[in-house]
Amino acid sequence: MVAEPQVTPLAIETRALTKRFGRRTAVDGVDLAVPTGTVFGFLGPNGSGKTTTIRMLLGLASPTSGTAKVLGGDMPAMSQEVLPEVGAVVEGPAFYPWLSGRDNLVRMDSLAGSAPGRRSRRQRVDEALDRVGLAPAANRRYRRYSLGMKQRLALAGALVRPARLLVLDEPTNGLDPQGMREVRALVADIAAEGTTVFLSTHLLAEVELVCSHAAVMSAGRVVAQGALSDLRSRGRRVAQLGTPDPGSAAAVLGQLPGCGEVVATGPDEVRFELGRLEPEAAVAALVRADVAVRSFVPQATSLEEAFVALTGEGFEVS
Amino acid sequence: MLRAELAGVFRRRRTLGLLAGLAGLPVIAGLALYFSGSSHGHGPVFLDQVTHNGVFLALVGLVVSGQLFLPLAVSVVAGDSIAGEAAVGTLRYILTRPVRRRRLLVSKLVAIVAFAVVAALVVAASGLVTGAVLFPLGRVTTLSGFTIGLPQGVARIAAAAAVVGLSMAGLAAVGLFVSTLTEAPMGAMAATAAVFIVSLVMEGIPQLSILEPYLMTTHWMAFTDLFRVPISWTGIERDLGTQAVWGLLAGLAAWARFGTSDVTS
Repeated sequence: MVAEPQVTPLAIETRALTKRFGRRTAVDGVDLAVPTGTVFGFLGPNGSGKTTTIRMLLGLASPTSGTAKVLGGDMPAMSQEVLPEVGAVVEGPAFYPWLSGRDNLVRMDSLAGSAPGRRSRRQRVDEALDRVGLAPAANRRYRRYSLGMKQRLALAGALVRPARLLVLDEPTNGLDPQGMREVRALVADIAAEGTTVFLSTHLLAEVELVCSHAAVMSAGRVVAQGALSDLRSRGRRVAQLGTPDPGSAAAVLGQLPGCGEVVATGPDEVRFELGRLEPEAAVAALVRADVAVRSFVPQATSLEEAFVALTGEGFEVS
Repeated sequence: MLRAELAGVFRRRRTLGLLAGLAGLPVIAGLALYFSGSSHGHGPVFLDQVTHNGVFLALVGLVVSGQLFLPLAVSVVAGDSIAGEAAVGTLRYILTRPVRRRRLLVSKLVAIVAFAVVAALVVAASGLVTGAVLFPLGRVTTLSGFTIGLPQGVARIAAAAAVVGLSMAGLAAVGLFVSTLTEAPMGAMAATAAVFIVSLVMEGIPQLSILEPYLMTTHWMAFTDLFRVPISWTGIERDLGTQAVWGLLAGLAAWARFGTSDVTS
């Protein structure tokens, strides 16, 4: 798992990763590049292939074709070397209902022979429980946990051992707004310690709040990925123009290359798509044509607009 | 890993329930004999001796449970082994710890057989205690007519229980294999139970006698040979040999199935 000598080593790298179930292609030629040290949002509507991708990253499923490298090691071939340094929450919490939260974590940790220092187990488990705010309920049976507590326990399970990569699949499902905030703060903390976090979610707001990078899945394919700032700029860019002469403004703008549709939004206001056009070029053209410009406001697109443009569909907000 | 697996099996309430149920069998048999007075020569081997010597209640317990209740309990534990983890969802977390799949299978198999041996010992112990309470104890008359001392008899009962437990190894492996095929533990338990019941039925069909030496159930009663003087080992050897072959084949099948399959639970 020695990282390759590159400028930014990748924590996760997939090439043409594909998974077919019978005739259905769940994951279709996915190329992911997750830089080390980032909080990487893996965004997509339910059923877009996120969890299947994660299962392949963790060696639970084998790709039909393509490759997946995690921390520099091929998956699933190098699972045993790679996974000790990966903490994971996959498709929700899963524990033995008849054991307490603490006993569940102790049991899970004791299953892996390679655990770092058995003696530290109790302490590591207690620290993890404390970190997710479950210490007061540690001795209660898992059966009696609320959904939010179960979700926290799953997170604690991923934190019992120090990890270089954390894979979190929908970690805020079932949490109330307060719980969501706490989990986001926790993710930020973990990232600050240098751990790469790969966070899958169908909630756009979550990506905006905690992620520095993101990939967008749609129908089994990655339709966009990169730094959040880059992704934002890839959406539709729109400008609002205040002018007493909307007619001539529309005529001038219509002739500019790369400029999109012009729509009147008021008696002396138009809104238009900048397309590939720079805002200053649009203003210069208007002024040269003697169109009076009262105001000109290029509008920063939200991620939501960008992603809707990329995926051609909305995201559930739940 | 193995220790955690064993703890996982034996700390579970269901396991304790199964053990308690099995321990109840000799108690019921003992009480029935105590109140009826004798068995009039009917019933399983050793039964008519119990009222004279309580030690035999342990053997009656092993005979009665060894054919049906113990393999049923083993079917429950074995059928649940992988399918239960899949149903709860813990399988994906175990494998990403990471735990090698081969290691998981071996630990599960050892834990199931350990359960079978412990269960058989529990039956024997319960029989001994119940027998001691309800009936007189004394030198043990073997099947060959000779008698052996009480301590020697108890030692042989313990050995018999161990053999009965190990006789479940084949069934344990079959259950493990079945358990890798599904995410529904109940289905795996029922299918495993069906396997030994079919095997018992086949034993009783004369036309299938050619298969008899190879059935996992054929030699299940071989442990009674420990109560001959001298001890006849051939039956026990055949029994354990058959279990080893079944265990190996079913274990390989489980490995072939589970070694590379996608975990979708």
